[in-house]
Amino acid sequence: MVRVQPLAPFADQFFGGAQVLDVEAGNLFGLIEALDKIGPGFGEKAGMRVAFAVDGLMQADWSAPLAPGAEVMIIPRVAGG
Amino acid sequence: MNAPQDKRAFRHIGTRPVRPDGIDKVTGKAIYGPDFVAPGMLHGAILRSPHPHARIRAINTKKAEALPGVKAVVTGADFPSLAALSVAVGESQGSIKHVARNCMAHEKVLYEGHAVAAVAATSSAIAEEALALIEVDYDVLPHVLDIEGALAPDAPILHDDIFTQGVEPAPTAPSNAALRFTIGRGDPDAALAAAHTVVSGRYSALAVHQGYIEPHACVASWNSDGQAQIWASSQGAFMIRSLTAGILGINLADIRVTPLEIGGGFGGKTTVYLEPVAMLLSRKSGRPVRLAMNRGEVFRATGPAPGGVIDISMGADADGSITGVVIEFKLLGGAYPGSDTHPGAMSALGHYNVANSRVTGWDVMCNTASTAAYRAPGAPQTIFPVECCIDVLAQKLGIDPIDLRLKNAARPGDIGIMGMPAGEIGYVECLEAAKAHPHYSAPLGPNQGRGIGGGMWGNYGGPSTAAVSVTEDGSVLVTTGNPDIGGSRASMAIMAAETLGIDYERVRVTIADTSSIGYSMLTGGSRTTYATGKAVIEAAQAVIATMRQRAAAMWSVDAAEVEWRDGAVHCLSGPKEGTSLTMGKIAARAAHSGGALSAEVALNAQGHLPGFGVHICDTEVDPETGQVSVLRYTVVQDVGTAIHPDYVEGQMQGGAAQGIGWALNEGYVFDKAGRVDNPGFLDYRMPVCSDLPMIDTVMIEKPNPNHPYGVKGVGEVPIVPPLGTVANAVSRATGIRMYDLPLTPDRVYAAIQAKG
Repeated sequence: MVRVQPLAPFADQFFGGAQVLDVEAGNLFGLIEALDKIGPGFGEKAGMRVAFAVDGLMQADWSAPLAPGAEVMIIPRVAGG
Repeated sequence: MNAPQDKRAFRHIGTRPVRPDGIDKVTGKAIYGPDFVAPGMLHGAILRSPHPHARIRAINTKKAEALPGVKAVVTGADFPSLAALSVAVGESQGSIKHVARNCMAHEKVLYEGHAVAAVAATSSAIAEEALALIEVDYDVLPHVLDIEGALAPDAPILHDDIFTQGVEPAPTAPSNAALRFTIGRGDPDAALAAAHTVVSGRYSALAVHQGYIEPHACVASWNSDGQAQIWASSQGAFMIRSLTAGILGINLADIRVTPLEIGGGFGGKTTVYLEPVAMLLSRKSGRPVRLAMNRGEVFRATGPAPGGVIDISMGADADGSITGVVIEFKLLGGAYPGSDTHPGAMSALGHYNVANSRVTGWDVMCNTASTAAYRAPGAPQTIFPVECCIDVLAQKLGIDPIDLRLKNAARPGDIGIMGMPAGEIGYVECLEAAKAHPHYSAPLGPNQGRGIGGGMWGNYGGPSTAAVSVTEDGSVLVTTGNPDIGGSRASMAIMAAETLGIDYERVRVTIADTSSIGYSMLTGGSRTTYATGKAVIEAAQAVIATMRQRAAAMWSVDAAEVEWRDGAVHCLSGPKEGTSLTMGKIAARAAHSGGALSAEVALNAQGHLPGFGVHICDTEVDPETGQVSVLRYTVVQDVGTAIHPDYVEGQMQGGAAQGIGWALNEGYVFDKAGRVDNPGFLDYRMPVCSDLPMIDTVMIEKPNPNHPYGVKGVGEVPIVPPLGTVANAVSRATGIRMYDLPLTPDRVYAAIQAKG
């Protein structure tokens, strides 16, 4: 089980405003799949709009294993100009 | 393996060789967007709305189509209907429907200059003549240009299908506020209540344009078999490909985008305006079509950085420790959602360690051109009030402004507002270097003031592809998919030469089209030297591994018995011990030892680190006119390892100059009808060389341990501190706190007069 914190706008848009979600997932691909069941449409948006931080560090490799109890933050993907 | 190498051991890193594209650019041979010509090409022109807000009742194009020489006319009705799908828009995200509608209005125009129709003809004159024959029946609607008006209960609503996200309960009526976004930590309200000193204020900054010299331009050719080519200048050929294909509903592989030289972008060329329109004109006419904006079109229809209003309260203990900060900002994003709310909120306090904070951002729409990224999008606007408040705190508490910043500066390991620990960041080193700089202790004269300002930007990594191939004579070709905006050809060549151990001049770099190299995210986010550089280094390492294997096979020894050194393979044991094979000799035998020597590496670069800067500015204010002169300016920045210091320093100077313009001069002027009144460089006043002193630069090279050579992004940070730095300098020169940018002479004069 990993603990997920979706930030705005994802919390409202997909998860009914939930600030914390506990989800069973082995990696971020699995997490996205699980979250898509909770908030249909999230999986489609994730590729373009979402960045993940796992235990306080940005994680771009979605196949990296998630340790049990890992804290995953869903944040808007931004880069710059 | 990934630790930065010892800088003293570098052969090329940190040197300043001549840029490989320099001669073409200074002699006019380089082909920029408006220069490109295709055989049989038609000339396009775009009809733009004279109204900032209107419903389109009808468009009659029959007279234009009948004009001799006109080969095609398109309107919004020619665009495929699109669901509100999200796509990567530049470096962030957005709705492809909005991108498409921004290229060509359909049903409604949302700003003056919004495209409503386009013509392709055998000459530019005929195309322009045809535009005058197109009849558009507008139902003119009330418009709104400012935040207060856009959020008023009776405000004209731009989009009937946009409801504010991030508010509870979910709104049932559409709004010009697209998003509310809050982040924070601790209990800032309690911290402010308990603080020894609290400073507050409402600050504002206007929207400013990126001000690139080269206007947007492209040529598109869409064949009857469905395959297409686009030649365009932009910050990312792959971005053009994905957005154009998405808007037109065609396969990515059917579009080949060739990047032309780019004459400035600064974030403003991270989306499409013309390419889908040129494609439709080409399909209708059966010929290549060029579209190129004039300066007025650039100012009216392409994205500025958003202006905004920022409310801030900052509390501190008597010793200067900042205990709590609350910020609420509203950015005016223009016609479509997607202003820089998220990065603005994430950046506002990124350079300080504040235990209790709350930052709330609003994305507000109005009837101006839709905003686009501009160097460190969102950060200049939100960090400006932070730096002003720190200056006020320093004055109230009697603390040196750099010491106060040092007391609160973010350090490696500190947890930021997003809950993530800082890596090997160098803000403290920047502050210490600024304090030690002779500029900081130089005497000031009457009516002069010195401002200090800090800032940060997160930078980025992301996906990049690079190929390295060794030619038959041993010279080297590097191919990437990232347009060269700030000298990246030279930086890629330096990193390849360093890795291979060969002369810089033996490496040549090509920016490939989208069908000739794997995907690369656009050149933006200060990512290219970091991420694409990593791909180049890894591709060079792969080629080295191949050459070691080839040489070992030639010598009939194990690959472990050979080493790569100084651009050659050396045999370490056996009968050939002490023998060497240069790259040229290995390459000459490549055909007989397994084929060509090349490698392509695609990666998604992680481990980027934010950059930090501290600026010092001296200004003199003429009390009789309010005119502000910048007397001296120094930029100190944590740049990681400077691969080519000239280009790093150039970024620092350029970003500072743009930030000074934002602080002092720049801003759109609208007439009562909502039309831009200053759509040209004569009236839209960017600083020029004669306005500025030589900008001194101090590079703090604190390497990034996550890059083989220690690279950090450098291009965006330097536009962040100037807003606060200049405002602080003028405030200290006049003894009046300045809250509203730009600090034009009339505003400064009025403030002086009000003070009496």
